[in-house]
Amino acid sequence: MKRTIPGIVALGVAALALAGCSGSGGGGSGSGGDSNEPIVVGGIAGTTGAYGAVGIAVINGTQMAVDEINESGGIAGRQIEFVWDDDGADATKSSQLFQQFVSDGAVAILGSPDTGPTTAALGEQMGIPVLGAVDDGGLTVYPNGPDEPPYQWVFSTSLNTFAWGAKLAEWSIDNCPGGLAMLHDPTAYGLGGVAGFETVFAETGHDFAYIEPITENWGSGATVSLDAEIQKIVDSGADCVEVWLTPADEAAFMQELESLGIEGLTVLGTDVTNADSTFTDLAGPQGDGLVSAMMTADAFPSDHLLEWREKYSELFDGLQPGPFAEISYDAVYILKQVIEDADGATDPESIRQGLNALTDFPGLTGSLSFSEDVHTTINKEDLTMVRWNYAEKTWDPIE
Amino acid sequence: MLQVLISGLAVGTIYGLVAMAFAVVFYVTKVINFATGQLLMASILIAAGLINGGTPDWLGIAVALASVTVLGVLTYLVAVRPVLRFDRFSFSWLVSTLGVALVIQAVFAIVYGPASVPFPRGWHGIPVRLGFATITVQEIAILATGVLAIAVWELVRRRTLLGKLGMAISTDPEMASAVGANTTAYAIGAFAVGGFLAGLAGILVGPITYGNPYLGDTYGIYGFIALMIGGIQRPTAAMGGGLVLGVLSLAANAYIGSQASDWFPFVLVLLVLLLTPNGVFASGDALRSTLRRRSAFAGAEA
Amino acid sequence: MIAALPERRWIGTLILIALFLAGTWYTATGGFGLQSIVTVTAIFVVLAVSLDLVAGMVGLYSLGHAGLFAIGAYGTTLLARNADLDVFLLLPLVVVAAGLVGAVLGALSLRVSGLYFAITTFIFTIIVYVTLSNSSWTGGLQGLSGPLFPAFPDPIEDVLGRSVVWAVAAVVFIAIGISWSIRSSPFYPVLLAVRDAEPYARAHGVHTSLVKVGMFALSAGMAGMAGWAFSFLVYQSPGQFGWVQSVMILVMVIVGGINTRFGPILGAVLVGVFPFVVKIDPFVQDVVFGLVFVLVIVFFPRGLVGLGHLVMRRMRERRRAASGERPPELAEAEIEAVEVAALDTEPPMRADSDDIALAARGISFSYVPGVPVLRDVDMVVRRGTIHGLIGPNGSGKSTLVNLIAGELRPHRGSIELNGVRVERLGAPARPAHGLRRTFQSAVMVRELSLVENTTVGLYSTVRRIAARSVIWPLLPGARRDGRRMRAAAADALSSVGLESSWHTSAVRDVPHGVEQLTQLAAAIVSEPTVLVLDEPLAGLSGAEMTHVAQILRRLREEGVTVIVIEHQTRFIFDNCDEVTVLAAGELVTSGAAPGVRENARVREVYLG
Repeated sequence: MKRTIPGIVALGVAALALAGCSGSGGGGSGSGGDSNEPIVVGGIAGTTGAYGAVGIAVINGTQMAVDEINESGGIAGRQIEFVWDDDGADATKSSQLFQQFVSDGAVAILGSPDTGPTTAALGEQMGIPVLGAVDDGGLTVYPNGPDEPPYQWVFSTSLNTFAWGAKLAEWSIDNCPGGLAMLHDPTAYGLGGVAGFETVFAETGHDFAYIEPITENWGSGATVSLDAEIQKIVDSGADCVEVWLTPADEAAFMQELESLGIEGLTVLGTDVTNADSTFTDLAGPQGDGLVSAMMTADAFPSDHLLEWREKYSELFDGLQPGPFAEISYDAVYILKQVIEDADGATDPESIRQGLNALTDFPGLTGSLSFSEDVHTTINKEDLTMVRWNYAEKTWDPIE
Repeated sequence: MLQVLISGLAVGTIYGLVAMAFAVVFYVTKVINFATGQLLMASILIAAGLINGGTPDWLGIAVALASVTVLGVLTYLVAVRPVLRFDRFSFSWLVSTLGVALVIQAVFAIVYGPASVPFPRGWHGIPVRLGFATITVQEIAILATGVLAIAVWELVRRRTLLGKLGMAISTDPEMASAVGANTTAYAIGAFAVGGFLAGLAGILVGPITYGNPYLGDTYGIYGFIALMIGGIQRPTAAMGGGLVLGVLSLAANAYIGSQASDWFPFVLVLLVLLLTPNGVFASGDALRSTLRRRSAFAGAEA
Repeated sequence: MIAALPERRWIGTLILIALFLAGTWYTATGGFGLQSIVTVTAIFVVLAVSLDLVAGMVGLYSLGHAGLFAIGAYGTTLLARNADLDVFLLLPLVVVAAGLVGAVLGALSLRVSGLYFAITTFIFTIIVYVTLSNSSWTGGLQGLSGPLFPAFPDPIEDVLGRSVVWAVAAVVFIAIGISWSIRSSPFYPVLLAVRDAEPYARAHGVHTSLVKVGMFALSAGMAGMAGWAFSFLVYQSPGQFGWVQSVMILVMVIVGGINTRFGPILGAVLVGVFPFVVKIDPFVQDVVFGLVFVLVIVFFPRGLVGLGHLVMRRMRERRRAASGERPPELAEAEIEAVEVAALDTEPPMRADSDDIALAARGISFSYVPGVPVLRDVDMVVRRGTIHGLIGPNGSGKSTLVNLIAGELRPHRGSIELNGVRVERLGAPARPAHGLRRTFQSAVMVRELSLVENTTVGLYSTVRRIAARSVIWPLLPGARRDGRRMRAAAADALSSVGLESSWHTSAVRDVPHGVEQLTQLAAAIVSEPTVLVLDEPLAGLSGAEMTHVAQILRRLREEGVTVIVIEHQTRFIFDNCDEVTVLAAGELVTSGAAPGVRENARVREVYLG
């Protein structure tokens, strides 16, 4: 008995702490609801970790939209309650947060850029709409490939690996006579890029001169040594190489090219290469000339977007927003429109149908639409090819 | 082939330095400092932060090295000494040094932000052609440092009183302190040297990898694997393990497939452990003594 | 039968079970959020408990448990998807699969020990991780969602809530139940002996290799069971089963308190609940998380349970101070004199002088080829005698003892015990032939009591202790056996002069002489026919030596054959019937004690 008392006491303390802090109400998601009750929206993103900047942008963009909407009266007269937490890029924590927000009454979950496969699968399983920065679209939203239907409950406003892959593939066909080599990572991010390329190559009959998966350290930001691959790429005769890896590895790749004295190889980037300044900061002068694609809305920013960016910087201590903040902002406003179009109904099915019916929504990132078969707002047609100009520190549109 | 060898030796020296950092600490205190990888990371970020902010290169590097040396000593005083004083054979230092690693990582993430920070390219931008392969001046510097590290260690260990006392403490700490050796001072020294070596590895690898608060784990693990391959008993053997690991990882990448470095080093370590449980370069490994024992049974002795 | 167990213990257990059921019901009928936190934490508890079985009880520090966990989780998910098997059938399948892998790892521990074994298991986790990440049929790095656990039929669900919570609760209950059962069974001292004093365990018939492999298999099966339950809770991807998780499980065990009832549970709860209770800036949260580990270990090196004990001790002191009690005095327990024949009686002549208890003939042995330690040595011990074995340093006495006991195998020669050839049998097999031995430096389990250490001596005489240990408190026959073992151990201790106030003291708290006597008690509790004592007088005072002499004589009266190896030649010649003398690996002489004492060569070898 004496030995068990300390144990019981400690467990009791833990239990009380849990009960107090997890805020469990009844099970199930928010449905219908009293017009004075807030609309709960959940946010899951990796705000710590090597790619924490992306998560921070997602949360900030969402928070900015939520605050604006609340100030101007909320959604159908109800305030938005935005609950969010850091998933640390951990699938277990992401699952737990998802379920916690659902029991808090969330009508939709925004995220996660790091654990998209988890939030998407859970949304699908529990019948809760998942919206916004769901990884980089692509295979996370279309788990069976670009030609198969997407997850029913997952709607990405995010950058889209399929779109970037297809756009870059088209450019490479016109501009890489010697062929295209590709290095990609084996996650949904890398495989999505490959799938994007293959949709175009399948139609035109092209293929990669050389393609290789490279395992990377997403968790630690450390770079991998690519010397052996560089040699194989040169041997394959390709004059372009698509480096579908982390921005840090892309930068290291270009610097390694210089170290090895290799010239004449055009390097292509990914959807995240220009999403923040990681690549450009790390690559230095060796990064000059990298070719990638960018959302047309960002390549030719409207005055509205420029004003928005200034406002974001003021709100968040001078941080530059970047596309992940933009798409998250758009997602909140899309949700607002969908709920208001349904006369304030917030049950999952009505939101889902509303999302499927979204047409030409005027967002920061362009004119956004969803349909039963298309659950990504950024597609090939919404992109512009750009090239990094080190001297001017700008991404210049090309073609 | 030559390229694989050169690049492999260069990256292997980095692993070897980290392995030496583990080994020196283990040599004196029989403790594995889980925060070693984080010390490497700290050195890169401190140097990068200072140099990018305008400090002259040499000063930034010196401050970084000094800082991680101090951090190493602090790790001992805060997380290891209390544990060992309570029970010399406890494994609790595993948790406390891990805690220190987490704290260092999180603090640096707060100070420098989670995103990668560029490190001055320096000598890594200067290639030197050797036949079909290329080596950069940075890589030459790395190799030279590795050789220097081993040379200094062996010299101190064998030729100086300091080193001989260190050997005594390593073999039998109780006896050594009974004859007057100050084991605490040696432990502090060991953690300082460990921190310094990790910091040195960081400075050397910085231009190649960029600074990021979370890369401690990656280099820590590689250093640890190198330690296992080479042999935990002797820091010199640890460096050897690093070189082996570096070359074989890159060779696996080049000849088996670019994802082979995920599993190849570990399968290698497994084989090493099963065949020579004390490490390839350690003295008196089980393989040799097993062979000897078999011959004993083959012929009966009078 | 139930009344035989202290009532208080049953009440405590019933209260815990009631609280457990109440907690499960509260969670199962609560919100998804609470459920997800509690169930995942519960899985961590199972993992920590499973690791404590091998790391805490057997001393095998494993960093492979994340890999075993993965076998359970991915195994369940993949089989549910592809083979379409019922989820309940999958449980024994993955448990057995994980158990088999665990047995292999346990077998590896026989080859590489300590730190290197930890590294080997670490590599196992990495291999599992890499396999999972690179195989498309496991979903690669993206992972897969697990099967859905079948829900209760509606009327039951309304009352009990979500079935998956009850499933997890059942898994936790089984894991903790097994762990606590082993802890309260006579197998527990045996396990600790395997951990701390392997030669001692082997000398008492414990097949330590089998124990290690078996415990590892059990631990692995438990981790596999945790994986089975986990697959219903979350989306799985390789990142949840990497070396970081393996290290985290070990951290949970150490932070909570290794080898304790509640330690692993507390450690797992700390790690599992922390991110949801400490809701601050995520970066600062990481700093605090790391600080918690450092602070807990530095201030409570025994883990969180140490904190609990501190609280209890303070409360007790305060209560005592308030009521004016004084702390119980540590009574200086006496070593009682043993009832034997007087020392100056002539040893009785044995009529059946041809009954040989132990015969070692033609023994040759060397540790290193070319350097023989024993050359063609004979030693014949007649039943019911006290036989001395002496010789100067380096004569090979200890080697001969180890050969007789089975720790070594002779290159040439034979050893017969009660007429049966045993030289090919290992040490754990010899107790079955009536042989028990003690060791020169008493190495027993320091944290356990004298009685518990002594019960190890009965391990091989009571059937199926290991197998029954997992549900020990539930078996009336087992509880009876346990009581009998403790009683027999207490009797043995008393018979060597240690009366009952010594019995519950821990070995680390008793003087050296008492430790040696305890070793002797453990050797005689099983009523052996041949007893081998390796330098039993080392470190004893004169009075203690006389005491030992009395014990030996009483044993001889009871018909036990005693072989004593000693440096103290006076003791030998005063107490032994026959003496064998070795020098430089060869037999000098052997025969009745008086004759040997007068032997010229013996004097030369010893005193020359």
